Amino acid sequence: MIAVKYGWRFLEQLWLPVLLIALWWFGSAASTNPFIPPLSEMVDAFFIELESGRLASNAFASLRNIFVGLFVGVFLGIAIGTIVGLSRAARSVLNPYLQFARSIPQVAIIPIIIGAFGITAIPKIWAIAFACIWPVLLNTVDGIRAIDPGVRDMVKSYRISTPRALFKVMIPAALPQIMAGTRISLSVAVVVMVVSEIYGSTEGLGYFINYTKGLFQMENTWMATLVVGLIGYLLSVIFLIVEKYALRWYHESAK
Amino acid sequence: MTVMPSAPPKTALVRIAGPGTPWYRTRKGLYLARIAVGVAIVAIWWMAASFRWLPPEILPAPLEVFLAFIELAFTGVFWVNFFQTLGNGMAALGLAIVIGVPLGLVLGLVPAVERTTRFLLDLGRSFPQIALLPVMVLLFGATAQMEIFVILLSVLWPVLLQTIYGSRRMDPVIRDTVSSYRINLWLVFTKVLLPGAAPFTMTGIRVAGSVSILVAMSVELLAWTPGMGSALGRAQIDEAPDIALGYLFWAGFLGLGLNYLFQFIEDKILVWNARGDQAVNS
Repeated sequence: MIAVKYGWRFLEQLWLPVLLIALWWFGSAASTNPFIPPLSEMVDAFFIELESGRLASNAFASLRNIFVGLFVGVFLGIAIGTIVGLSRAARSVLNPYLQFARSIPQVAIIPIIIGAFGITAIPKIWAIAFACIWPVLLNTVDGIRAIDPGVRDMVKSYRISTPRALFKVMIPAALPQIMAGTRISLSVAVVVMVVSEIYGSTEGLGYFINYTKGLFQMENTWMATLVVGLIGYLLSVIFLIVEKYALRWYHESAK
Repeated sequence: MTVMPSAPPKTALVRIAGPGTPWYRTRKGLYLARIAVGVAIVAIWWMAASFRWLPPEILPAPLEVFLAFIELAFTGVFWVNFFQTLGNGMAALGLAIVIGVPLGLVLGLVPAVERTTRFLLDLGRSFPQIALLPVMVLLFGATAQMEIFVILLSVLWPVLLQTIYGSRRMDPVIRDTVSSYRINLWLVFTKVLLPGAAPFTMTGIRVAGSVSILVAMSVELLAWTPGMGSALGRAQIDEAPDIALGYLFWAGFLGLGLNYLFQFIEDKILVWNARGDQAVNS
């Protein structure tokens, strides 16, 4: 029975995407518009570029930038956010500055950073890291602030050492908010990755999209665009699984 | 796609000062401290610029940037760019509301439809729409309409998903009441579903507001459609980092202003209800 139920659920979610892909496949099959190649050509391009290794090397460069940038940004965001969150004075004084920093459209620093430091990977990683700091930082501040004062008093009266209090009490307690912030940072990281690679780069999927567009290899441009989209989707799915695992105590206690 | 955390709820930051009040809880102490932090930031920046910790083409002296920031406000070109970015962003946001709110109410009302579209909605939400830009430029050219379309593709999701979430939460008692009184469909939508979903929709709109400026500037930067993004890129190429940073600060104030504006509207419209913030990340 359960298998039937899940099978039904699965079909219920699957039929529409399958139908749309089929419509796209057959609708575009006879396309003569050079800018809209048939879907079958994009699939062919995918396997050709997979074979040639160009897709893998560019995807690797993009993913490396995302992960290193995200890691640096999340690390700094948690570190600064914890310090700011623990002190009421720091929170009140810094709040307007943090709100402003968060409001800067994250892509606006890309031309400034790339213009000054060149089109290599390191400036892009910094741009991604800078963009990723703010959602994590502000969420960490909120998470630390929301910790029950009783917990803090307990830490104090048991004279739990500061590192232990931080890593065993404060940061775990703020983890739900930190994870929510990290999820936002992840999607920001993908956007900044794409924009920075189209703006100026010699590697990465954004570069591949822009480069093949210049050569009018439309099937490659479309294919790489779809690959970027799928990577964005897969990253968010993977993150949801990681988040669920990291916060299992939290979801269990909420039951 | 990107969903920003909402600002923490407003609490009275400054209370009536008494003898035992800590300095940061008094108006004077708080503002003095904030000014001190601002002075410290400018001092570090000034030192970084004058000792060349960072090359001058990325970090000009604070005074230069401040002057460029002010001078920009006295040029017509700046305001054309400013309103171009703002106008394109708001046009896309308006379209996203017109499309996303009715669609979201319907999708949230019928669970089967919601399940069927779940994969597409998840894909749409996590798809970095800006990657479509090169293709869109080829299809439609580097026009303002193309820019609005790309922004719309990005800002539709927060509005749509938040509205679905709000619409789904209709109380079963209300559902039964509506059906037993045979209230007509139009009234159900306008008087029951829409107000019920409004707190969540408003949060989605606020989030979409900041996303719209982000995407508008991205498109302008990459496709050179007129606006603050292309002006910033142009200033960078012309080796005028003070003007580039001036635009960066204006963009920050625009984002901040929009966020406060939407929060203000939210508080005005939703007097009866707390904001639907908790749903943003779920």
